[in-house]
Amino acid sequence: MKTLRVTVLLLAAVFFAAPLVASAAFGFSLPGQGFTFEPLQRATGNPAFWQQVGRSVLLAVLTAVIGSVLLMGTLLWLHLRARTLLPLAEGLSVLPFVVPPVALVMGVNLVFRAIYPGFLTSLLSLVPFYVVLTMPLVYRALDSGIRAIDLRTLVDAGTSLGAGRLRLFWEILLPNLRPALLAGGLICVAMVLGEFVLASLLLHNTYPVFLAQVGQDNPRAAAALAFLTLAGTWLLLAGFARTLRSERTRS
Amino acid sequence: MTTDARLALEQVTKAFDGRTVLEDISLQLEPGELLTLLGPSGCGKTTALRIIAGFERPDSGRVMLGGREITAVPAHRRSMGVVFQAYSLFPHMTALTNVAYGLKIRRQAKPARLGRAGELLELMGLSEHAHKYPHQLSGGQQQRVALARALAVAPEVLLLDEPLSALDAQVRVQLREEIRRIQRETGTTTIMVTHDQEEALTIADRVAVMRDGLIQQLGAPAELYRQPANAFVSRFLGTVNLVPVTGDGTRIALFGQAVETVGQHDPKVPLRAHIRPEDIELSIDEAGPGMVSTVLLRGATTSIGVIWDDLVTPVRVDLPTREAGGIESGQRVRLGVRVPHVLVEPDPAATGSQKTHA
Repeated sequence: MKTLRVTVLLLAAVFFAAPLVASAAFGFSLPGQGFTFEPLQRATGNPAFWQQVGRSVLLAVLTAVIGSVLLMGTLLWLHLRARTLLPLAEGLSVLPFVVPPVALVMGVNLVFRAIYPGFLTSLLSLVPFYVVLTMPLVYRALDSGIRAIDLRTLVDAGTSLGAGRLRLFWEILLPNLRPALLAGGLICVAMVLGEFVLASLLLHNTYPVFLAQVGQDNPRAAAALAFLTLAGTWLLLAGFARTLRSERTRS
Repeated sequence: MTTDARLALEQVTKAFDGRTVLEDISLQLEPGELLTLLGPSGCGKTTALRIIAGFERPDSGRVMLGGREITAVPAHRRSMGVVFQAYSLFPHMTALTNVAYGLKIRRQAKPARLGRAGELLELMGLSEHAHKYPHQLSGGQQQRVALARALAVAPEVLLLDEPLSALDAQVRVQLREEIRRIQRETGTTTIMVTHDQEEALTIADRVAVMRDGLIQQLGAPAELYRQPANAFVSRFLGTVNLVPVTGDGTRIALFGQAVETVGQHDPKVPLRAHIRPEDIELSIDEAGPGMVSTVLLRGATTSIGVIWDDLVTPVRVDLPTREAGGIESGQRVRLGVRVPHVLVEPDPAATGSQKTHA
């Protein structure tokens, strides 16, 4: 029984790690030269690289902020004032999983090209799409964060001590919902850094689009960058988990 | 520190989704008084408290404080300290900053408010826990911090929403006495909601027994216990024997003895008498019509079950344990009534059965 478990674990580890290791090995080496940063340097030397990284970071931040603000407001209102609507809201929140992004973008494309073409030419037109796409996961992150605290009692306690709405939110709810907001934000970052379909269809140059283009004439750089992006996201997640742990055990 | 906060509810009604929760509730508290709202769950007691705190608005009626109407004053502008059932401390603040929070809102300087919070924690015997976070404190400690936090702002009224119900029995009794002591010392007008009749009777100056959104009876604990206004109050407070009897309008025959009833009753209707176990006299009598079925030592009192006539359930008689020596099951006994008046109600079963309600 134990050998079976170990075998499964090893197989899974190999299954997940092998592509990573392979892409790192491929990306950081050249035939006859061994380990090298050369292909990577060639890619990052391209001025378009930093520009497009910047664009993706901007998109990620805007998506995280706008999505969190909208969903946090809605969820707090639902939990405090309209609990009976929560199941309905939860059902609606998974709609983006049901509607394929391609269908979404094609529909919006048709409508906006006709009535307001300027909207889709702006890079920021991706933000609403990304907010919608990340909603199912951000919704769950925030909702579980709210459920983990005794929202009603904390609000009543703060109110009885004289706190108005703004104060309640900033001084009592926000500090306790910070882990959930961070988790939601991380989900947005991870998603936006990997979103290719919408950006490509709407002809916007973002980091994932750059990655795909680079892969065509400099596949080693693309592999190296993909590896670094993945490792970076993991480090972010690990750092986040660590912060949470140390917060829980603070004394 | 005694405030002259005279708190009153005037004809307050409240319904949620068409279901009436409070029906025309009126009550008035004297300054410094501790009143408990007692009743089974769903009787409206917590809603009444939440209306006083300002968390809910009544559908009609008024809330008055010190002669001023505060019905429309939002909760954060009322001077009320509230202690909740549990989990009300702010998880990201220490005990000390929790207690000081209300003073921070009132713009008191940091050293002053932390000093005051420290004093209150000392009053609660929690000085060495001042810098701990709520999750590092026991349930009883958390409730003490919550009480200190509510008192820190020197509220005109203190509202306690079942503050002890989540605690162990021992801690509950201890904290109950502490709440009473501190409430007396600060002279804060207080309302406490509870479903525990012992808690309500021991802590309060006056008790309001509620049921289905109505106040059944409002009075001193002893008055409620000795002279319940109706069958519900009688059954809800303490233990009572319900014995089927027949009456002639003002008197009934109970255990072969003529006893006057509280008020008049309809002689044509089957009745049941409410009599407390300690209000029944028991004497050993070879020819007595009753027979002892059980003897239960409870500590200071001993409960004796007596099979009487054709009653289905044994009658419970409580005697001080030192007077109950020598009573054994199987003995023939005679019962009597120790009180001058007995409460009766129409017997809903009217089948000759009889129950004991604890």
